[in-house]
Amino acid sequence: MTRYAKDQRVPVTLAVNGHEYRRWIEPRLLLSDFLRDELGLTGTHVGCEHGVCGACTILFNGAPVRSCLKLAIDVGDGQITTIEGLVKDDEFDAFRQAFSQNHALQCGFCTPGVVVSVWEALKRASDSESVDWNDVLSGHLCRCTGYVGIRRAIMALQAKGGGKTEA
Amino acid sequence: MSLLGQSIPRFEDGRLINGQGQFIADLMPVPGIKHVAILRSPHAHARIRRIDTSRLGTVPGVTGVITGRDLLAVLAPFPVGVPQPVTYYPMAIDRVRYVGEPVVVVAADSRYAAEDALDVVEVDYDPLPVVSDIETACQMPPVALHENAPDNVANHREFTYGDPKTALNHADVLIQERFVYPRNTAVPIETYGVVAYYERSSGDYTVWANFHGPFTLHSVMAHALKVSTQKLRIKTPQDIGGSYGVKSAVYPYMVLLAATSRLLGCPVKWIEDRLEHMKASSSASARISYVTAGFSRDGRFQALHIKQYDDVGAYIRAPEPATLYRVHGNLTGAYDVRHVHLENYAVMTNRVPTGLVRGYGGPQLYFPLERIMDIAARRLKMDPAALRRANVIQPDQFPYRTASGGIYDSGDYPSVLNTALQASGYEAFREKARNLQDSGPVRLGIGIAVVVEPSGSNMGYVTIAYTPEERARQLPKSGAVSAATVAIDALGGITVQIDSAPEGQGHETVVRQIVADVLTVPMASIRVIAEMDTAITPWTISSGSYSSRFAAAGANAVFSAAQKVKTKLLALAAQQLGVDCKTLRFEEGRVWGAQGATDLTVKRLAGLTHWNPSDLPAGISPGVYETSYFSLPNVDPPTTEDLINSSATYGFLVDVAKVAVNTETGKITVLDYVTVHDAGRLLNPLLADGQIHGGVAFGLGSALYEELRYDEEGQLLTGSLMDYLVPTASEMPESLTVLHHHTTAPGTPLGAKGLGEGNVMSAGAAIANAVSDALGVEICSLPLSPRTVTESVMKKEGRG
Amino acid sequence: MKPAPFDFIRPESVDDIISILSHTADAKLLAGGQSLIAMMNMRLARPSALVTLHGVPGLDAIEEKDGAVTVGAMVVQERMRCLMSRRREFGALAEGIGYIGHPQTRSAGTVGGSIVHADPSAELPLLLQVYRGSLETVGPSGSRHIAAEEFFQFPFTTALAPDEILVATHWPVPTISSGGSFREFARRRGDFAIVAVACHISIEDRRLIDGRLGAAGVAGKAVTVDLPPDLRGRPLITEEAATYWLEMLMPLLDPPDDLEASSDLRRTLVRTLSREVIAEAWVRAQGGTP
Ligand code: FES
Ligand code: FES
Repeated sequence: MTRYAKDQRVPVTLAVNGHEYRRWIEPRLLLSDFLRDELGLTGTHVGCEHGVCGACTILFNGAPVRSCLKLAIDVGDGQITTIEGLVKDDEFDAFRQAFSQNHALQCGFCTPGVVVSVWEALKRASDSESVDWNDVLSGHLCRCTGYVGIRRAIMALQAKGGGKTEA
Repeated sequence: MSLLGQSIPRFEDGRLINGQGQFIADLMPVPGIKHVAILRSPHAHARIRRIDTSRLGTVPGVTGVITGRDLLAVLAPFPVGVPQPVTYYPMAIDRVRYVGEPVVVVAADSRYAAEDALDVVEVDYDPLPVVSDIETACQMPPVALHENAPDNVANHREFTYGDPKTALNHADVLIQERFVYPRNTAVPIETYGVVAYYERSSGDYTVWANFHGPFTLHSVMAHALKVSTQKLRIKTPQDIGGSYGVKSAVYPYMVLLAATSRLLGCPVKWIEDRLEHMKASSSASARISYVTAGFSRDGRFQALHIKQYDDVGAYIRAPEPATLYRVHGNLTGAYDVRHVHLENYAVMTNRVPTGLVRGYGGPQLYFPLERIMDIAARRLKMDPAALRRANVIQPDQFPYRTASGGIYDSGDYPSVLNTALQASGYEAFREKARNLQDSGPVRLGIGIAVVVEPSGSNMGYVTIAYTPEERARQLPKSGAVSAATVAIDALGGITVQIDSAPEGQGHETVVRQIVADVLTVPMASIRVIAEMDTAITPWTISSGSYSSRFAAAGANAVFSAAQKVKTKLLALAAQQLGVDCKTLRFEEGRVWGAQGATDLTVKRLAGLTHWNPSDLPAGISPGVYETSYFSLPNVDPPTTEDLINSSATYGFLVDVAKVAVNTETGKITVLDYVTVHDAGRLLNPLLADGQIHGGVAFGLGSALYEELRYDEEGQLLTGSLMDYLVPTASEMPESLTVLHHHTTAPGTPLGAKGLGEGNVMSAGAAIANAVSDALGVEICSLPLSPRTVTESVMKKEGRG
Repeated sequence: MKPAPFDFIRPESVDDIISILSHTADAKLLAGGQSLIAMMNMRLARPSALVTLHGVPGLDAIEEKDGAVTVGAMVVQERMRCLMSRRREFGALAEGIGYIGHPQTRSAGTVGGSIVHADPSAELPLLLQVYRGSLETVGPSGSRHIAAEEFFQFPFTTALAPDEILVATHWPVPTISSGGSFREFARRRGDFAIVAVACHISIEDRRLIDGRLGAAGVAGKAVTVDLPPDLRGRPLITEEAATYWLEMLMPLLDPPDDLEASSDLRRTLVRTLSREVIAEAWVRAQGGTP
């Protein structure tokens, strides 16, 4: 059993986008702040810090989660992927194009979070799992697009990928 | 082929999708920044007895603390455009007037430490009576919020156009109703953010903020900081995460942070958190309207009488009371009504001060007006569509001067209405709805809303809050101006600086389309700088992104700056080639003459002005750096008769909503939504549709979900995103159709009108009309929760 | 919105946890954090010590033995949903979990966290009662098995002692010819339920043999009623039978009256949704997908 005092700086090593980062942090540091302020990965946005807006969504061991509701100290050996990590994927170009061509974003503040969730759900859809897109998208607030462009982008990507469900 | 008018995906998208946008929270523009947290009032109204900051020394990492009284050394109250302004500072001094009002500012090494510091600050309050109800506030005020407004009325004006009294007396049918539009707000997913730096040696302030119209309140802020305007430099970040108007109310915080930087001697940064935003940023004005409308037996809309009370919150602050006046020129909507009486009250209550929210002033007007049309139709036993058709302004009446002075520039209202009715299958659905009556708990309904959408606000409209006599003592205000600069460097690189501070509308792309068309160069050769710097961007009081002004104003400024560049380059080419410049034109970035292509390109010509200015012919100055100020026509100051053309152009839209309402559970499902717009020429239809989609979502939210609800004590009950209900993808209409007509705006070179706010003005009315139709009750307030629906059903059935 | 400082404790075993709980007054256990961290960010919760359950062995297994599925307290909701979506006899289970928040919160939120939170409108406490589940807790004096009915007491209050921890929930596997259905009425997709209703039915030889109907959001805790004995052995559920059954549920209701819904509206919703879930559970029990 290990106990870290509230005012102590704790060494942690986090695996983010395939790199290991070692930092000294306060026990209370939120993962969202860790990514943004400690690592400079500012693509993860913060819009509510109570788990509703979805702007801070990242992949944790491949599943989308809210980084504002996770403590950096509690991540352990979980693998974290942020928008900056997804961008490096070869398939991301097609993804970016679909979002742009279908005007799936305006101010772009919700976008990295939306992209992370949609990316993961599309992967599941291509593994022939059925995806409830209302369920996926309801985890993100977008105040700009009315979600119309986002759904169109998803449909375009599915048409390409031969996915099974409808957006 | 012209790029303008094409659906071109945005240049902004790449960086934003990749997470490489640069938002205010991402910036650390100067070294040594400290982080600010703000202690806020837990009371809606109280006297501050004591503020004890003595324990701050026990918290590690604290830089310093400021209370309201400290501000008196460096600030003056904010000016505001009403005859009797109240004293408003960005932080409470001795008395708090709304829950969330700043009381203490702490700066520390991190936001975490700053919040820890707030925990040890103690404030004692003596609670005062709370003013919450708008009508009570001004009719039987329990207490005056400000000494110089004993009845809590910050602005009161009456207007008479034509002879409404006689017209109402002679009307066959009078419709009278009281409507309540709630407080709601914009909820951009990015909150406010400010970085401020006071440079002691020069006394200059630099403030970075996600404010999308820094010039509009530049003078207000400089006045509050007691400096001349050149000493307050405001910069916006490259990207702003949505605003929909509400971020204009970041300005008190810009001043607060600037003062904090000065008093504490370090640069400071504050990123508002969501709870702060919901509680204390800004909100749309709630409004109570008493409307009387007079109709002839055959359905002629003859006269309109409106008495409206706006809740502007604890302090009237700029640009309020503009909610009451933004739509003054289009008070009568799409209808030809010549007799109007209007009485306006801006009332102060113990709630957060109000300000811009998408649609500004529009939903507060159109919800009552378009409901009245449906109520009248029922009373006259006419179809609501037919009643509207009988009263809309006809195509041959344009330009149409409204009773209150608006100049509707162009339009074809009947055919837009027809398109909308056809696209929605209006008749067939009404038939279907009738057949469904009495079978099960679900009722169908259909509702129309018809909206004249103003864009490009006349800076002078706000002064109509003063009487003509008061105005006569001031200098007149008018205009809707925008500026842009097109520059070409020595190697042909083109840079365009714009003044619209977009927050997602895609101006960087549309500007490329415009300039690429004029200079016939590829869009990729153009870079657009959209972030603003009040020290560099051409100073235009009215610049920024509000009142849907880009298409009408900003785009034309870009066009005219690009024209200037073209004219200059062609004049240079004419002299080089020894021909008359009228014989020359650009094609594919190259000068063409009567004989075909020459070897003079845009790059080469620009190069000549830079590399070898001594050989430039007379009349051609070195360099290519052309700024153009574009002013929209017909935006004059108010007349002595209180006539005001409050906006430069007026688009038009018709919405038709179909709903299914479960009378037992109160559930409303929007089955289908059709919206047909006429915004003149569309600069980029892909982006125009995006604005409309967003506007529909926004309007739908205000109709069904969103309200800043307060209890009697002035405490906000919907202060988090768990209870302030922003629609998600699942709440969008099951089907949404957007169609366009294209009646160009005659007064502008590009012919475009603004759009994007219209559906916020229409959706509440359209959905309320549909629900009223489904239930056979008259809905007079929003939003329509299951609870309000079931209660109105019970009332109708005499059970409530 | 940043949490106040706290000590952070990483236990290595359930015993560690119990000893911490016995010695640190306001220590809080951190499971998925979907409610707790949000409350801490608002500084509405400010524990002096936070004890993470991540990495503690034995809390995140799903096993089936002796006719019950045992779900470790730290299993995330989305994992349970995926697994249960393949188990037709637990018809209401995956469906109900699907109403908890969003995939992005279910991927971190745990089954145990939701159960222990005991929100009277929450899905999992309702489901555990409808499926006649039980809970396994461990405290200083050993482990206990508690039936779901006894575990949930009042809003946000359970039978868990301050020094006790929930280690798993047990879900008895219904007979194969069972069907279930779940419905929820909320303002928006993923919001807390105004009313949630679940029904489970088992049949044998095309006759009703067992069932349970329950509702959440209508009292201090979820309420349930078993299939009335006089409906047993019937060959089908008629409108009247469904009404008869749900009317036995109604007296148990004590619905709140709040911004979102009046008590009356909540009662109406229970009736409406109950009819729907009973009908659907019946169809599913027979192997149909309505
Ligand atoms: S910031 Fe994490 S969900 Fe909003
Ligand atoms: S693009 Fe602006 S919030 Fe989604």
